Amino acid sequence: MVGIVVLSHGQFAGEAVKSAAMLVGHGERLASEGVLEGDTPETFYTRVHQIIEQVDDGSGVIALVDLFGGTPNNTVYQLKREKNVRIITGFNLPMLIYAITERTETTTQAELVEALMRVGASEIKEFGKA
Amino acid sequence: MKNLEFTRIDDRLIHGQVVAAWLHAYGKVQHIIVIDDKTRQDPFMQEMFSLLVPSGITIEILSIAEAIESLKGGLAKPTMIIVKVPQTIQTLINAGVDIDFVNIGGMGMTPGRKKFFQNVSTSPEENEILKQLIAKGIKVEIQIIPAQKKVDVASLLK
Repeated sequence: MVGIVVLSHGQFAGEAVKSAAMLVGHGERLASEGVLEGDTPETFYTRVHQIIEQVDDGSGVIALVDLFGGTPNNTVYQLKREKNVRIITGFNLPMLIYAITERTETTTQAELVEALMRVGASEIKEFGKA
Repeated sequence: MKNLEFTRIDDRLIHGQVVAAWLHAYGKVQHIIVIDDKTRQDPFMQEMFSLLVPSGITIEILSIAEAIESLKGGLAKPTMIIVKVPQTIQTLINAGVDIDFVNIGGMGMTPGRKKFFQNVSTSPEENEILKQLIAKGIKVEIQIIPAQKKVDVASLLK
């Protein structure tokens, strides 16, 4: 199964995973980390490396990061040197829910990247628009 | 130095905060020079930094020696210089590069460093370098993001 890591500035990623768990349960092969004040690129890299190891069964990993170009994005990008990771920036809760509920043993990394991008964008809309 | 808009110390070099907020705060900047020997040797990181720079802004990644040579010829367009550590600024200045202002934006906790101010950490050697820069008349301020208040490093080192 494709692994998912959720990465953010501060506790956002961890809390988003908890929020998703309230709605659809905690997904398999899913982990999160946040960069904290006082982290160096190296300390955060070490933790991201660890969770990628945890979720990766050889099917590849998708990183959902909070912000294009931020430290979580840049840190996980460096892991592309040794890991099969694809990165999607600006994640939201619908994407996490989709990853938890729709990801199966046979979903490929490429299929899931495409689906998550589509879901993430399509779930942003004005509600109650006249 | 003419066209030097902003000089920053940040161990993350280019990341979200720099790209978004500082380029907005220094809207004239058209070019970024990253000066770091290790990054200069690392095509993978160079590729990443090039992906992080918004369109319309160019980026150059130089070793310290290359930067000294290049900066002797001045800057052709409004430029932001980014380095990882105060030592690099000192080396540039000792080689005759004209820098009169340095922003400290990111110096994380590493072995040998102690908390200096909020989440900026420095080693005793780095404090000495900062003192020497200030003694030369260079303004050194801590400001992680433009929305925060500037903190004068000279007053913290007294």
